[in-house]
Amino acid sequence: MSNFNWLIDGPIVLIYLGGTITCGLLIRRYVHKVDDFLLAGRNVNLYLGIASLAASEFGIATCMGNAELGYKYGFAGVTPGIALALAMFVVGYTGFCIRPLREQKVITLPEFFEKKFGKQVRWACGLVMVLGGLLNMGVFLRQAGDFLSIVCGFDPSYLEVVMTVILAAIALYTILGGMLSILITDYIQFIVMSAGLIIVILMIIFKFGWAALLETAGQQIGDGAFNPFINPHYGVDRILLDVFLAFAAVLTWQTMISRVLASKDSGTGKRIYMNTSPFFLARFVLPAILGIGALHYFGSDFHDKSIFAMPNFLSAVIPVGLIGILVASMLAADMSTNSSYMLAWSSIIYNDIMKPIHKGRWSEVKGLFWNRLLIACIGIFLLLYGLWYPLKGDLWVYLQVTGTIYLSSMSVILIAACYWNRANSWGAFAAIIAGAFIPISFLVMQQIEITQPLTQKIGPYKTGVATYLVAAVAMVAGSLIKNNIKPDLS
Amino acid sequence: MTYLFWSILCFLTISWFIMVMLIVAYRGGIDIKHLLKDLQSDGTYENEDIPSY
Repeated sequence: MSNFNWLIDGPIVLIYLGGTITCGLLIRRYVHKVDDFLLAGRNVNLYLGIASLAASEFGIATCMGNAELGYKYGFAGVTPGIALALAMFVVGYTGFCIRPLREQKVITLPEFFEKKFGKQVRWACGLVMVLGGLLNMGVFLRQAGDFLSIVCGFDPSYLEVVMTVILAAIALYTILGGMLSILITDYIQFIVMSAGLIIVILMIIFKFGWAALLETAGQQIGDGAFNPFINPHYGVDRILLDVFLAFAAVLTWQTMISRVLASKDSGTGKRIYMNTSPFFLARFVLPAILGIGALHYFGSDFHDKSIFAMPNFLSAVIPVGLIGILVASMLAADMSTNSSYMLAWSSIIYNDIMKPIHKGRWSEVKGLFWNRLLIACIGIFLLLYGLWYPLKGDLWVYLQVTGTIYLSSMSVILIAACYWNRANSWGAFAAIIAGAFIPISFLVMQQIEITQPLTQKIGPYKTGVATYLVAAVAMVAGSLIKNNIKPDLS
Repeated sequence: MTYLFWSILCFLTISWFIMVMLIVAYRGGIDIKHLLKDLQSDGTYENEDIPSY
């Protein structure tokens, strides 16, 4: 039974929604060119960049997935956050790959790759990035619908309606205002989301006591709740995948890298990364506390449906009034994520996959029209995929596996493009094929009854680690083979 | 010892989050003002540049 009260909490949510959407829509008059639409005219400064990057990388799916890690593994579930924060700080501090990328003034990663590897690699990279990206965000909408249904106490049969309304609101201001609307709404959403999360976390800590939460984690999960190396469900292969994924995501995840590309200069891009790095730890720590709170409150009642433990916990313990702020903050988190992701993947489809069609010669008006149409199409895809795909296993693991489809090959190609003179198109193609084939095969085999036992035996972590290693070997081998066979052409 | 590590980490993370939220709330607003000002001047320049027939 939810504490959500439509007379008190309902108006809080509606005021927030109305305010954000109005701001997003008013901004559209500042959009004149495709560059304004996709990168806000490359005028983004430090603090707005931090707000936007933080807001776009924290959605309801992230919060549920990371709370699930806290519920199942205790504080050991924070490990991916530690890896991400460290990776982001190191990349921001050194400017590794992101400095040459920003200095080339490109819109997307594939555009950068074309300069080194040619047009075909650009097209193939665009295709793989969109495939991985769309599969990755395909589950966002269902998670948001589930969360809101539980916390607000909707009848689950309204799930599809809730999902459609959320998506339509997000698509409306993203289609009209592009990156500019996203930046402004991200700023509002960052403040609402942060304030809501902090209030809820502090309330839970004071209500149950920090010592009691620690004790619950220790009793229910054992010593593995505090040490991922000795946790029977974690282990070295999973930690290794967390580290690979963290560096690859920081270097090539389009929604992250687009903030560097939209920054005023490479120095600002580096500072955005360095200053946002602790947020990537908070992105795991705060939901993990909620997950441990759910474990404290329910015990192992949600063992089979651990993803629903956190929303059920919040709907039961957060009082009227505060639950409205919580729903507004979670909606804020989700809207900023979905809008950024829709724009990120549509920008790659337009800029890279459709390049052979428009050849960069379309007028600004026609370019804007197509970008808006692509966002609408992505919205429809999300709705259909969100309703259709049955999630198996941890949500975070699904996000890791789908992300790996492109993160493995793109990170290898980016590093090679920036720092290895002998890298060439054969190596790039080999890395793309190896990087996409392994995780896609794993996802398909996971859905087929005969091959399911094999996927369970190998597991997603070893598969993920193998993908990164094989992609790197393929890049080196492919490049060396071309250099030996066609030394004059490479 | 591990309890202490996670307690300190969580305390620092929450403190950092509160501090950054307040700073970004103030300075982010200023950034938006400058961003819109720059884009408006770009737009004006562009519109002036396009000859009307």
